[in-house]
Amino acid sequence: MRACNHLRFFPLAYRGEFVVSYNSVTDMSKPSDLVQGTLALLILKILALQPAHGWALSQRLRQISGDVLQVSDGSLYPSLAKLEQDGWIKSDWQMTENNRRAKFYSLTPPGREALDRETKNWERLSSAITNIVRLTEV
Amino acid sequence: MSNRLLYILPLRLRTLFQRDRTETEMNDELAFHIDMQTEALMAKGMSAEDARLEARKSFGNLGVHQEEVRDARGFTWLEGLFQDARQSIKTLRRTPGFTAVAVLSLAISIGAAATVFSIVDVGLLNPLPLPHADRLVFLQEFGTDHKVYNGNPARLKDWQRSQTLSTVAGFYGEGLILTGEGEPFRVQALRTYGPMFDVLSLPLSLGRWPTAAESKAEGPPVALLSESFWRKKFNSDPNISGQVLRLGSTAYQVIGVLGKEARYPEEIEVWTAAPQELQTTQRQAGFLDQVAILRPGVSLASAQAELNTIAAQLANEYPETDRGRAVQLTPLADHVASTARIGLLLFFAVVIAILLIVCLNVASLLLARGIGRGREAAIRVALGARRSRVFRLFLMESFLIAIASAAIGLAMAALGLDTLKAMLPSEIPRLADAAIGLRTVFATLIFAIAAALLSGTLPAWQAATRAVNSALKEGGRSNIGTGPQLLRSALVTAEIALSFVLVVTAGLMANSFLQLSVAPLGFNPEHAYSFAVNFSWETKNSELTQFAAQAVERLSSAPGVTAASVVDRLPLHGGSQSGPITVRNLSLTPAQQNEQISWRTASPEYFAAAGVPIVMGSAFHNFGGAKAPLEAVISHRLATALFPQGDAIGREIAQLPRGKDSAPAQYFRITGVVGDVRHQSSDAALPMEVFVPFGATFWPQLRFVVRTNMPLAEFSQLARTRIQPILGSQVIEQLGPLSEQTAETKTAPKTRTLLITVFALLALALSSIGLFGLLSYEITRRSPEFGIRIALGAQPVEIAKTALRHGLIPALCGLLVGIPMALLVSQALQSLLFGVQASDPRTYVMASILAVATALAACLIPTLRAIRVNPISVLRQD
Repeated sequence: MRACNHLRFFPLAYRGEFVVSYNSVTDMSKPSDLVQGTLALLILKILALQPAHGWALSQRLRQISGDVLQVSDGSLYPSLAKLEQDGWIKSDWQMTENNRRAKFYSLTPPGREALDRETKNWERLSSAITNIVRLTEV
Repeated sequence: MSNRLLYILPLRLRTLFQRDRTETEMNDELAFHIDMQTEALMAKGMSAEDARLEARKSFGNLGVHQEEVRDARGFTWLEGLFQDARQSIKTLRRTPGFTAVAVLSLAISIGAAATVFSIVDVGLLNPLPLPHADRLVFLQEFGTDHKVYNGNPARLKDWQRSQTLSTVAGFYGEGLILTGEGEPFRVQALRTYGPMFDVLSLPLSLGRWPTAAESKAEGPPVALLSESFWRKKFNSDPNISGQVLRLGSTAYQVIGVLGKEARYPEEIEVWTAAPQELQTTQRQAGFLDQVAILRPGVSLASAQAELNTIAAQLANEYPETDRGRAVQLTPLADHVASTARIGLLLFFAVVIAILLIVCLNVASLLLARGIGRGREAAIRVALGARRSRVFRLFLMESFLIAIASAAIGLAMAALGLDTLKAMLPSEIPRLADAAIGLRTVFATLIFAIAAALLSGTLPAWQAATRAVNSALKEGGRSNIGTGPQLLRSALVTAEIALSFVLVVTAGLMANSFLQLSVAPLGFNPEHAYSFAVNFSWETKNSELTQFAAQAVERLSSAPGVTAASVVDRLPLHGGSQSGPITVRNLSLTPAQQNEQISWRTASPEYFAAAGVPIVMGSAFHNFGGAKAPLEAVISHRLATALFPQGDAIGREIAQLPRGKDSAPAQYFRITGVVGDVRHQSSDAALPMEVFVPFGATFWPQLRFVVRTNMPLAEFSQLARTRIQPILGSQVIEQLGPLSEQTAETKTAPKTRTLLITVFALLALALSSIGLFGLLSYEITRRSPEFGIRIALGAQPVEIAKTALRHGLIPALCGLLVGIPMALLVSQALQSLLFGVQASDPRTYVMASILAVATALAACLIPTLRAIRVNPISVLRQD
């Protein structure tokens, strides 16, 4: 019996799923490592530009990636918590423009280093994959 | 990387210790998100209600995300653990009866295990509290006949050829009379050969070590004192160095005090080099214990191989004395623990077996509880708990039980240790040192964890797996239970098997003890007293003989004394010398030639005084002296072995001379045959013995045996007044009834039997409680069925049969498993048994009957309940 069996007790619509269009991982509430890593990279990148709270971050994410990454808003927070626990980002409570208390995330110095490193890795990887994909198209 | 810790650590500590705040902040953050999203949607023109609904929808499942955030935060397992613990405490408090039974039974068994462990820890695991204890070895010499020999100074020197041993030393113990410090008294001295202190790496707490010359007894004699002797007899006098100690006829200068760690050899008060005249002796003499230290990195096996080569060389160089002598190296720690080892191991095994039975019992109880809580587990799973989480929650209960039990058990151990120490035989090394220390606490913790896993894993696994499919849909009792019930039966079977092994062990021990108690001693300890006068080994034989003869004469002539005598060793205390014999005009069989015959010396009245019956002929007629005729008395068993025709009287017997250059055989004419005296309390076979007149050989440790009807105080007075005038600087020791002197050898088997019997009965009781619980539950579960059957006219006998089957099948299966187990275990115990075979069928039959009877008794009440099931009330229940 699989570990996710208990989810049968919930209507499908309520499953907090992380649906990615190019990968039909549908039965797990935790995204695969690759996607998790990609999401982390995107979060770090957005926060590198400007500290932000969760909602702003989700808006930004949607704007930037369009419909490619359909991240349900809620699944952003586990990723944020994980990044914070690992020391890549830090958080503090501040007032928003509308005078509301919100938890703002920003990069830590190690986070910035990690972003640079991961960006380079990503570029190498994606160009390699792009090349391979193009090869098969010929 | 390391500066990342700067961000990680404070955060993690905060999540751990400010759980509530972290939780609130998370909820605030998520609520803020939904608010913002709602506002954003409203700004697009949605109604407030629709916007909130849409915001929630796009957020996904709030609860799941919350859980994911908690997971991501880490430490959730710890949080969860706290939560589980709180939950479990609540559950346990709801069933105080169960909790009390489980905790108490585990506490007793863990406490027992901890107590015995604290003794095993010092006695077996760490009997030598010395540096390099792991490199210390004991050199034991053997003959071709595997008989143990002691070493001698000449061969001790030869072992120094070894490249694998860095130093070798030898020693023997001797009681010396200390004079000049008030009343003369005996001190236990250790006579050393070679660098004994270097080998043992003993610490010095005061003064200096002996010089190399002093270690060889060259120059004025010097002595070192043990710490306890210095403390007790000299009040820890810091200026003890330089003082003179008169021991026997020699004056020793005290040069220092050894540290407290000097506890091997045990109970030594004074350490001094062996006297000059004994530094070199003939090669056939054997009186030394030999110890050595292995060179660093040398294995025991390679040292043994080298010593074998040296032993072969020695056999070539000294063929007359050294041929056929072998040497065996044993780790000194093992040697020290040797006699106590098997008894202690058995004891430890027994308490572990009890712990195991208790664990199985608790497991069975938890299983039964688990069945009742199937619904709870199912609800937890339905509400989103993972199965692993349910497993953990259920296991947590057994951990809590085990931890509580360990704490109580440790307290019990601390209270009970001294009582147990007083009961145990003193042969256990460092028994006095045993204490509930850090190591015991650690071991107890391990016992507790093992107990928790043993008792909890199966029930928790059952609860977790069944929770998923048993579920909520089936409300009825009838469908749950067969799986766990089967498991419980298996557990009870294991319990019964284990307790059967214990019962058999106890039965064998009790049987053996009984045999030991009823076996004829061969002498009559009633109305007999004994006392000792121990001369030093340098005393001349003529002096000894004269003293002994005078003392016997003075005692015999006293009014009220039936017989007085002197002997080398008391009955049950073993022989003083032994070796192969030869008989004039009789060719012995090869087996008889190799037989070790015990030679003992006594005065003629010894047989009358000790109550040893003379079976044939008479005792020898003289005391033994320079010109006395050489006469001997032999034991009945030896007589039947050598002279089956009964023609022992008048034959001549001698010790077989060893080596060519030793004196020719000295024949003793046999004047009589006496009854067999059992000298080795645990030996099944009676020894073959030759008694010769006291003066015929040299043995300075005199034992006087006197037969009289007078009370102890009167005899004590008599002995002192009669012996004192000729005593000189000697002292009378160990004066008391002969029965007391000879009873000592029985205490170890007695304690052992008592303890094991108590534990075996406890095990039996525990396993029958297990059986009782199992059957009771089964009856309750099946009472509707019984009700229907009774309503349909079933006879009580039928019902009883069905009920009993459920109890007796595990019991009989337990026996089937237990019998081979017991056979296997008891084989290892044969050396502890006297007059009983390890596979003694009577014991097994008795143990089986006892086990079945207890099982039946445990089944009685549940079965009666099954018969008395009221069909109407049962049928109404559903």
